[in-house]
Amino acid sequence: MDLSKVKDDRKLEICRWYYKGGWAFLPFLWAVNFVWFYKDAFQRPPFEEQKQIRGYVIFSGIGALIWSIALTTWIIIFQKYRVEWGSVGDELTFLIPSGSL
Amino acid sequence: MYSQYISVLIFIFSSLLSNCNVNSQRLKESMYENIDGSYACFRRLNGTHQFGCTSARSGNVGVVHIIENQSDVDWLVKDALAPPYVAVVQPAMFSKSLLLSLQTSEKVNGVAVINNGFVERPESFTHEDSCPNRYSGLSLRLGQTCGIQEQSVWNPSGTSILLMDWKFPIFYVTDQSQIDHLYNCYRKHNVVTHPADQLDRALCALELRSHMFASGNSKKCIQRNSYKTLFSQMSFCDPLGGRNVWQTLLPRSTKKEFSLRTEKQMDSNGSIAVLAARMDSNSMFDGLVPASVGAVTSIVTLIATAELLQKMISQSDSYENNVLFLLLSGESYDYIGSSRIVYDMKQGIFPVIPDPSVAQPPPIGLHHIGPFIELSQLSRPKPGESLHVHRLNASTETNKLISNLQRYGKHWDILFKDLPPSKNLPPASLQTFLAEKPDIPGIILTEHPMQYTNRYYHSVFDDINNLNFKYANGSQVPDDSIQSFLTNLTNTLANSLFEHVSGKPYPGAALADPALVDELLYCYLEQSNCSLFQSAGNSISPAKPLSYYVGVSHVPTPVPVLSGSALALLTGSPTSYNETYCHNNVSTDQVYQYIWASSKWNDSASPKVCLQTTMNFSAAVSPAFVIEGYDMTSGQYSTWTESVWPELTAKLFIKPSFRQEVMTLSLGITVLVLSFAGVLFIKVRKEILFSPGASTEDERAPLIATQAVGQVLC
Repeated sequence: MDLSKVKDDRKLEICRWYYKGGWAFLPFLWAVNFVWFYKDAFQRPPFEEQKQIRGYVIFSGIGALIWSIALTTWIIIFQKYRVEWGSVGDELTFLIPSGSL
Repeated sequence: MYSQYISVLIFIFSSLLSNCNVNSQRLKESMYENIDGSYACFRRLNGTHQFGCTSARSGNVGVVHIIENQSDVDWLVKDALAPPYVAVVQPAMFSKSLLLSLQTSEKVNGVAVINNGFVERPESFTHEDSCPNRYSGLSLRLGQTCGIQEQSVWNPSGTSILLMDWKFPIFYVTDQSQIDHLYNCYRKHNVVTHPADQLDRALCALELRSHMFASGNSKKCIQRNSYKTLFSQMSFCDPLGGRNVWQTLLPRSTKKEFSLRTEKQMDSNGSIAVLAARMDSNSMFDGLVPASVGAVTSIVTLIATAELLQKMISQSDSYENNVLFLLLSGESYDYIGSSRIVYDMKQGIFPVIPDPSVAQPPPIGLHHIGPFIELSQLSRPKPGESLHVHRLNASTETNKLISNLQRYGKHWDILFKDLPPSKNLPPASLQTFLAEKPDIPGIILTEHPMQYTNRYYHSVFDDINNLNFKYANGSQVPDDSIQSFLTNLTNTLANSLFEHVSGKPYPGAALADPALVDELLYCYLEQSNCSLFQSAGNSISPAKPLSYYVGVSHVPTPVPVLSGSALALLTGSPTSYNETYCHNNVSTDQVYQYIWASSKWNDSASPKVCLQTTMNFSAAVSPAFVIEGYDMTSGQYSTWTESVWPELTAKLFIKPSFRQEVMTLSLGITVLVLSFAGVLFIKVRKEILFSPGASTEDERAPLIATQAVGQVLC
């Protein structure tokens, strides 16, 4: 979809959907929402739906940021300590690496 | 008109594509040459560690470097400039120090040991521990017994390479033509005067694939076996194990009608003599585990003794005592077979789980065991030298047993040297029994005194040449041959055991048959599709020497099956059942097995008959895998497992020179950068290049555009 050809009220609707969808443990939707609507929220001249879009974009951005920090932290901890955790580490592993611990 | 062009274009394109496919297949085939006749080192694990070799998932690639002397090693470790390499070595050069120096150099990605069968056999080639099964057997009860307080070790040449974890794959290549090919390829491409020259030319390289799934230790990989992911369950390793073969000389039954011994159903303490031998051996390479001295001589002697004793026993007499023949599996791996038997005996479930509704052999306990003779590492002693008798305690029973053996041995020209009782017993299954009940009057018969004389213990060289066996094939067996020695030993053992069974010397004239010993050795050492194994009802297997590796517990290996059927054939009594009724019926009769076999062992074409036998199998799976929640690190029972692997292959190919590889990569990157730049250039000038007046419907537009691009580029 080419967002530049979409009308502003439709944009608000899409932005709201992406924002809501993100709550279903889908941080990637928030990240996409933030990138897609960043220009509409902050760089375009004011229009009617801009305030609402801006709100959703800010929330989506913050949500995505928190998620990415949390995920990065967990991934680092998991990769670093998985072997040390022994069988617990293995149980948390989806694809067990063949031939290594 | 355009549609015609398009269809022609599609046709040309698709035919090109299909040609490409065919060509690429051929190209791949002509690029790589599979090295058949190669055997790979694989990973084995115990409760605490991993041992053996592995490659990366997609295989390890290295430039071939043939090592024939120390200067080749130095060149590889210090001067070589085109790593990674695969070191190709002769068996005589294959040593622990070499492997360690190759591993620490970090230039070596794999090792291939080559042996075309014509090279001189190395002085020694044994990669087992210097104290095999160091931590099991009697050590569990008495602490470390081997190699302490300056005592000698059993396997002094043992390098322990088998018990180390190597970071690269190790292959063993035996095919003469492949070895020649490897040498030719190496001489043509890889021999240079200066190390840097290797950077300029295409080099002969090997790709070794032996990726192992398991890692860490048995506990971890057994746990991993049980994990189920969303899509699949993967197997990482399997417990080592197999089947023990057991047989009693006289049938034993809980129900009278099934037993000859109707008078006496209970065995008294110490009434069952045991004649035991191990059935397995070990080596570094999968599928190549010969065991001439390691197992075959003992198995053959045991089977021949069982056959002779059966002939000596009179069907009309009743006997006080019995003999239990045991052929054990997995003894090379911390006594898997014997530890399971001892465990089952303690539980009261050896040989079968008691069931009052069925006629079955009553349980045998450790207290029933009387004289215990284990045959281990037998070979013909030098003239005038003796076999050696090892024992833990000096008891009246063992004294009597040894004096009997010595008395009969004198008659058969076999000397037995009674070594002083010692805690330091050679590695033997008897150790497992003694660890549980030290007063069992047991002895171990070996050819060696305090150190193995077999310099190829647990290795690929413990083959037919190690025993100096020449198949007589029905003709007279020479007096100085291994066959005649084992025949004499069989006579000695059978007479001694008969005296235990009946309480008096054997009055008859039955003798061991040298032709049978000859045939058995031939079957075990040379051709597993020999007439004896075929007579015993085995389907014809490919004509090649047997491999004596214990294998994994859920896949049957041929050695126990062939040994069991040979025992049954040679000791079973003929019945009148025809082929239809010649089968086991475990719901009523567990005393006997029935096999459909030839009536003569030396003629597989002789009329078939249904043989009734007391031979049977028992599980040789370590109690560690039977006991719920067993602590894998406790060391009490064997915890050995074998890793699962997807493939074991070695391939030879020509690797482009380092400079050519760099060139190809740089060229690729340059083309990529140029194409980006080109696209950017066109995009920036799109207004000039593409006429704004031309609509997409205009048929001339592509033409104009092409011309414009042409103009710009020119």
